[in-house]
Amino acid sequence: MKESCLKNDSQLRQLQYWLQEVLINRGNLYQKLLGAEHQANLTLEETIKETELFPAIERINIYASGYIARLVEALKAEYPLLCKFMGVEVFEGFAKAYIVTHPSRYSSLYKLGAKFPEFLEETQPKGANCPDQVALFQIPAELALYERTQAEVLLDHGLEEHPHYTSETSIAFLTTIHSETLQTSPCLRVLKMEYPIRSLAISLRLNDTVTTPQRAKNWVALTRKDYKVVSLQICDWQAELLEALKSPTPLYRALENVKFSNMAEVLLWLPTALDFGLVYYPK
Amino acid sequence: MSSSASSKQGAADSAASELNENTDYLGFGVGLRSQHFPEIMACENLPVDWFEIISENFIDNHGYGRKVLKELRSRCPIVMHGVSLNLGSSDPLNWEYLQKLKELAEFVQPSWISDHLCWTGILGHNTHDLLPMPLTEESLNHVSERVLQVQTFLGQPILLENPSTYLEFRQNELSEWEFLSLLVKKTDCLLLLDVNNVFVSSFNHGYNPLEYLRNIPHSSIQQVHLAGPTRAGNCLVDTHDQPVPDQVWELYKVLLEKTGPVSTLLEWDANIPSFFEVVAELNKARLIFDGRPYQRLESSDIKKVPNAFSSPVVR
Repeated sequence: MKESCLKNDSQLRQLQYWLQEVLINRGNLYQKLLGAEHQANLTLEETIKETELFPAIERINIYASGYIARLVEALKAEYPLLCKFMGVEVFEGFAKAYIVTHPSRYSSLYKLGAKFPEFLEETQPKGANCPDQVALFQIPAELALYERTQAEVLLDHGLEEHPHYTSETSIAFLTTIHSETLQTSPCLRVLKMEYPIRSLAISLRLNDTVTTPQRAKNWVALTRKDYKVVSLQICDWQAELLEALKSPTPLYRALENVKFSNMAEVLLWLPTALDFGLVYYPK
Repeated sequence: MSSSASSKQGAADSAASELNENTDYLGFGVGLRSQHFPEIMACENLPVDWFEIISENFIDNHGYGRKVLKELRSRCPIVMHGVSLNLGSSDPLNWEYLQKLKELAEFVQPSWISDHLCWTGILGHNTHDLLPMPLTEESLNHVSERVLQVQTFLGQPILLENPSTYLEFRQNELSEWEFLSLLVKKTDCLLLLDVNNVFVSSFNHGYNPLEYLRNIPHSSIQQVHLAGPTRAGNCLVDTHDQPVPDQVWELYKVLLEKTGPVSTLLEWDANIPSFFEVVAELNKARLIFDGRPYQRLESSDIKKVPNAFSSPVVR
């Protein structure tokens, strides 16, 4: 790829290739420059003007260090709770490794951190089996996924412009809802977690003292109401029902895909699901 | 400089002498930042004439930001300012991005659309930085062709902003003002002149900012940016994190004499104060425009730090 990029290159292409390699290569500034020299066949001296007061090496460093610093700041803004949980130094270490491993290909900074949870998952040491060791690496990965999901929920289409029907647990509601067509909100996300991440996130947000939580499988539903994220702990059948309602489906038909459902429980929970914007009546 | 480039310099010089006949004067505005949404949405009467949005913050954003934008566009003019058009890149144009930009423009109905004379990445990467162009004839032809393509696609002339730069290529054949003047001639694009960026780049590269202001084609300057930089070691960095320094106000004053009324926007993107503090800083521009005195900063005006990185980290 790199060789073909330079084939029949214009000067513009060659200079841009050199500068970009200085920015995105691994290592310290000198290692980055050596890499760029090898890849683009240009040296700093051949490329950048300098003055006595402001030498070329300092000029290129503004861009090289700024590239990493800017993107680390963007990741901190997207993952504030994770940064608090890991500590700034550890977070920055992972953030820098992520930026070098997955240079951005996105036009928006909103998407920069999209693969960060996956990266934390992939970089866990293999063979850890004592529960404390597993938790040490798994919890940050799950917390990252939780924060990333919140960010997606905030930007996706929601139900704010959709007419809202106040629901209630009345006999009339219970008798009609069974045949109603329902659908999940476009911004609904359902996460299967190994640790109680939702309560961890709440504690972090409130600056409570945080201890490493014990493993406990759970489901979390994230959606948006009045432009604010709503996060709810849900159980197995609720997660199955929401999955079955991804497209407009009559409730009775969706329930065919739900194991262990108790009709009374379903009917009692649906008003909550409607009020919090997990599901709605599509047109 | 090549002979062809030098003959084009003459054309650039003549373009600079024309007076600005800009009829799209919007007045004084600020960059719309999410930190200010609560204050702005609570305003019965907006204290600014217009807002500039960062296009990338609203593309694919269907949350509260879109609601704010929908309301504001009914109350005042909005301008779309991009950071990812990647006009100077030797990669092909990103048509997927352009399509999204066009769709956002259909929603916003902006007074105009702008981006930068820069590149942000090649080989599909985005460094999220406004990287400097080699100022050569080859670059000029390359950028001109792409500006024409973008203008045809968007159905309107675009505005290009001069970036702050910290390095210059040895291969350069043109000054930045010559490059921009020729670009205007070739494409009929308009200019977004960032006065702070002129100050920053002239300091970093040791040229006279007044020479820049004298030679840029004034009639094509549709908009001006103002902001505050940071001193880091031997250079100035475009941080948008503090008040506009006196040196930039002085340059703004000089520019106004050459352009006449020009839509003016204050950018503040880090250590962001309240909306009303930003507006207070913008109002200094109104005073200067009216020829009235404004409150000057202390003599040690520009904040000094060991390290700084330039904008944009804007949300």
